[in-house]
Amino acid sequence: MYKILIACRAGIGSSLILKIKLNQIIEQNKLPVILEHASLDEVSSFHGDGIITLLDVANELKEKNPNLKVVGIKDVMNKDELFEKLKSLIE
Amino acid sequence: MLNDAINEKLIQINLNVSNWKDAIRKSMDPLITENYVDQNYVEEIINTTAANGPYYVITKGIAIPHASSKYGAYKNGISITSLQHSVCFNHPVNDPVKLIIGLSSINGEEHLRNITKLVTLLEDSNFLNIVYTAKNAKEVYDYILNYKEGGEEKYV
Repeated sequence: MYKILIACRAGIGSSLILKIKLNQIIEQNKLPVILEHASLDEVSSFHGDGIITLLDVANELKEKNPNLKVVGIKDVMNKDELFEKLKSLIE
Repeated sequence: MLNDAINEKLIQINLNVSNWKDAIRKSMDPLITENYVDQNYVEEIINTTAANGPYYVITKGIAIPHASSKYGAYKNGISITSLQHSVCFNHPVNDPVKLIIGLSSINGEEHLRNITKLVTLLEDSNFLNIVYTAKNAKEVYDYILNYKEGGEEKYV
């Protein structure tokens, strides 16, 4: 199992929607992924395989966490984008 | 469940706004009037946007402005605002914005259920069609009230 963290600024809006959409994809494609969810302040204590966040937060997180794989999502409703970026973290 | 978080007073149709700040203020206004959030909550959204960009423009044409409850949220609520003319938030790919869904959250299970239902609505092209063509708030509210869907708690 891969452990992936979903993070956004406040942790109550964008990242929750992202989590719901990613869980749909994980279930449909039977991917070996467990999602966790956090606000930005909690990211530094995360130990796992990668972080998925929104585009605008991605660069900031990459700078602060150089040893973690971080991908930024442009459109949370775009299943193709979500699938490709999720796969890039577990390959 | 969404019915508790949305009421007709939180829905605004074809609102005129002059820029993104105006759009945020006017779309959050009903949540202030109905005591879901206070003015400070809205200013926090605007200040964070000015500093860090529009973190809540999540898909083409749709913004879901929100902040942490510590800035002044008192109950779970969702405002829905369609704009007469779409407005630019300076988002790299999802501009211009035509629909603004303001969130107020005190967290917890109820908020999770609300967001799950919101996702179902955003996946529903009929819902978006109604939001963009409705002549008044009641049309949108009636659609949400009568909305039937299954498995709403499955993915959280």
